[in-house]
Amino acid sequence: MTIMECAGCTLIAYGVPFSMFVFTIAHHPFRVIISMTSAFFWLLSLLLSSFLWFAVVPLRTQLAFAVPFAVIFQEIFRFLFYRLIKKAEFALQRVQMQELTDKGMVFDRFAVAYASGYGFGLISGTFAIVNVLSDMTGPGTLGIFGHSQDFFIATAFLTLCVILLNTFWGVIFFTSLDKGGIHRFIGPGTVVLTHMLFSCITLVNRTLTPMYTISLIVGYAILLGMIIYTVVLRGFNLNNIRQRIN
Amino acid sequence: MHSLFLLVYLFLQIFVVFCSQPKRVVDRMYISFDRARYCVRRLNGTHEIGCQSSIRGNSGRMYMIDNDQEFHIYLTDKKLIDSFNSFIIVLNVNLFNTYYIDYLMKHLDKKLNGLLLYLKSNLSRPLDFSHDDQCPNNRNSFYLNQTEKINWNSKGTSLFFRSFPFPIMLIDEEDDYKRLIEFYRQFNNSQSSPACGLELKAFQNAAHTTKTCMTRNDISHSLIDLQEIFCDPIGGLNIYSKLPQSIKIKPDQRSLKSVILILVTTDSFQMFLKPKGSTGGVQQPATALITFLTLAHLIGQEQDEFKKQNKEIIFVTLDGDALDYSASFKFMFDMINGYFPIGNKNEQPIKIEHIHSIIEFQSLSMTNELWLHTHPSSLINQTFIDILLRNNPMINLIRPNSPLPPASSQIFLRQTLSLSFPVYILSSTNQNQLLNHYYHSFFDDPSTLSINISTLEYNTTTEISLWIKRIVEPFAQTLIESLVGIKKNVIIKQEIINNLVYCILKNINCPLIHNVTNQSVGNTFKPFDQTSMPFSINTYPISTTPTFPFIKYVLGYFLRDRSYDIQNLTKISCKEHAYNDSFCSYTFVDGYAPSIINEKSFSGYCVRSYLRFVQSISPAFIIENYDLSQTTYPAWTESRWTTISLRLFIIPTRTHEIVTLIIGILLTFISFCILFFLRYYTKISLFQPSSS
Repeated sequence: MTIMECAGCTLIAYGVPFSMFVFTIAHHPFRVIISMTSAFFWLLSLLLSSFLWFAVVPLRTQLAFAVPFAVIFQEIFRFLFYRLIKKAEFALQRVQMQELTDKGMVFDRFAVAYASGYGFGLISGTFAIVNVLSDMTGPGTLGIFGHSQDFFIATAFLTLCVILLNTFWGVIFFTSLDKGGIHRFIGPGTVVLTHMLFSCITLVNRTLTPMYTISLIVGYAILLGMIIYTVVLRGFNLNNIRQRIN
Repeated sequence: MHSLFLLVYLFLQIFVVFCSQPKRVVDRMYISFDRARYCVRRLNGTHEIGCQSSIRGNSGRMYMIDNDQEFHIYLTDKKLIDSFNSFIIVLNVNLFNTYYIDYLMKHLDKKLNGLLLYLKSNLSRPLDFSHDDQCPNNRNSFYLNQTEKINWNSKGTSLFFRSFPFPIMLIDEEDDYKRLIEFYRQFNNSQSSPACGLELKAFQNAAHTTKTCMTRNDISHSLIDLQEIFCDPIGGLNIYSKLPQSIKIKPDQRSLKSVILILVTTDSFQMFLKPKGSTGGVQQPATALITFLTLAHLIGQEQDEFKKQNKEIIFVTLDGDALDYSASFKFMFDMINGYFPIGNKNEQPIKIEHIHSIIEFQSLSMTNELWLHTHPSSLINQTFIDILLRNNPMINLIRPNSPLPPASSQIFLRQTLSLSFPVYILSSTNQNQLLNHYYHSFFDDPSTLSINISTLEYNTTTEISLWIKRIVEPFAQTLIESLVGIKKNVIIKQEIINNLVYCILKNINCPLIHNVTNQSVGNTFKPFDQTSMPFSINTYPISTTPTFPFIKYVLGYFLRDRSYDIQNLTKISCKEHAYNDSFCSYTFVDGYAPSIINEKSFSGYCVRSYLRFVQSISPAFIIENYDLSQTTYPAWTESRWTTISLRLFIIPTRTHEIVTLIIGILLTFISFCILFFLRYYTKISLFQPSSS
């Protein structure tokens, strides 16, 4: 019965994001709304990518063509979402701040960037894994044609990586644009480049074995890099952290 | 290569949803076998028989057993049996008998989740394969209260009439077997490596008994219009036809003992079905049916002779006798209640006292000797028998009052207490043996009659066609001699028999049927092109089968009024004849050349024939307020089912599953703890519940 395997993979992929939701987003209606809207924007980017794929009929079978464009469209829509948030912020600021602060609706830019990245990541990961999870509920597992049985665990970990990466990419993207100056180019540039790298690793992997470990290592390395970049961007240093903890 | 390609595709799913072909992971996980035969559930008044699977399918670890030695090795391997919850045993078809199945069921008990039988190749067929009882149809037969029971089908296993709690399927295609064994050998080498598993899905809607199921059928949920049917009563059509010359219209009285019935059955059953597969039934009833139709043609040819005497010969086909003689019970029920012949209320009914005798063709194989079974000795006409034996030295007479083999005539005798008329059964069955090793099984196919079906053409003269000619011609001669009183050599064209053999055993969409029907009826045979006539349990009219239209039109044509052959009628004048005559049917057809004895050939012929047909379901379903659990009449129904599937896959090892689950739980738990700590022990604003 691979219900166990299915449950296990669901928990691997969604366990951490679920905890994140419970402790950082659930109590804040504003963040919930931002996440959902952000997810919707990701869906729009996917729609556009699929139009492009559909339109270019001869290249439908060439994966290498569709992937970079998908990445580009996603990042464009991330930017468009940022513009949307900016407008909202501007509109909110025109209303009396006191009233909103009493109700608990303070505009925390960091939280908004975080929630938007989280929404993007959640929907992106769901699209990746949901079909695989439903195929997992039958009595069998992969392997009759020689594939490795670790495929499902690898997919689950990769989905987790995608969700977390998207969260941090969101934070970096928005915070860099807010900071202005040179950061306006470095931040988004890093995001686009690492995103492209992550997706294209898959295409490069066509000639290597075992491919799961390589993509996972690259993915989590990029994740570590993004975490460090975020921390640096937010201006944390050792003193600040000690303060926050106490 | 496969695995790389697969992973690339999957990563792409993360970024782009649509792909060029609908390749999903599930296509790389399961291998389906679409041409497997399956066993279904049937119900009667008191029991259910057959197989049943759970609605999602029965899955288990696959274990292959090829011979007796491997069987015992498997049963003594305690470690293997304990390490899995459920098994699907893949058994060589030669081991499918009560000894092995009972042993397996007793030993494995709830762990036996399904059975898959395989046939290695067509050349390695088991010598005997019959799952009917050893004394077939003994539940409702003539011998209900007699002590002497002959095991006509001595190699029968009775497995058809048992109820199995798990599904049983059978693979009879050689390349399916090769694929199965290839994967099995690849993956079942050691205990630790992942093992092969099978999933058998054959969910049957009906349960318990016919009475329960028919009650369920009647339940209608008032809000929903659609009625859900779980089972259908078995039955088809009883078709009868005779020479159109002698039709008794009221108030003409019919003389006593003036009707001779010639019977044949048109159905069989098999334990393992396949849509569009061979259904067996060649030695019984196909050969008998071809003999029957050939005799009808001869009688039609010699209709001028039969006009000189006053007895009617009615040709009757019965559909549904394989299971407890349902069709014969219905026929006798109709006769006793005045519904025979059906169709025109101005026709004088035929009752028991009008029947002169019954002749039946049953279980004819291509044997060197035929046997004539008769009953009761007090009523049989010895002159007739003497003429028959003289005209055909192949026929031997069985001692009178011997037990009768399984035959529809038994019911005719039973319902009349053997006091009214004699029966004569012509069969290849001798005093105590059906000579058919594959009685009521799908192996009973043309190869058992030495016919090479792949090279059979429309007009090929096979041994069986020659054999049938040698039987039918003397028989027709005997009928003429005993009824009319003259000795006449009758000849039937070999071509007609060859055509019948081709149509019934190879391709029912043949030129013969198109020559004897009009265009719209002929088109109904097109979907059945290149399939033989199916001989299986019918649930008419739910299941569409070409059998009944074929028999109707061929029988009607062979017994037609031949005076119309020489009249050059048009379609319109044929219709006009139809308006004036309500007892016969008139169709305008192209004409079947070998049957027409006329120098001039016309573009179309008007066919006047006497043809009637009536539903042959058991009287149990017709009588008002009949309690279906009574055993007066048989009450067989067949369950309905939706999808049948057979899939092969890899079962994940238990450790792998548990490890995955534990990793998932740990990850969730650890992340929960870390974030909990971050909320309550730090002042990072992101984690605090109060701010926005």
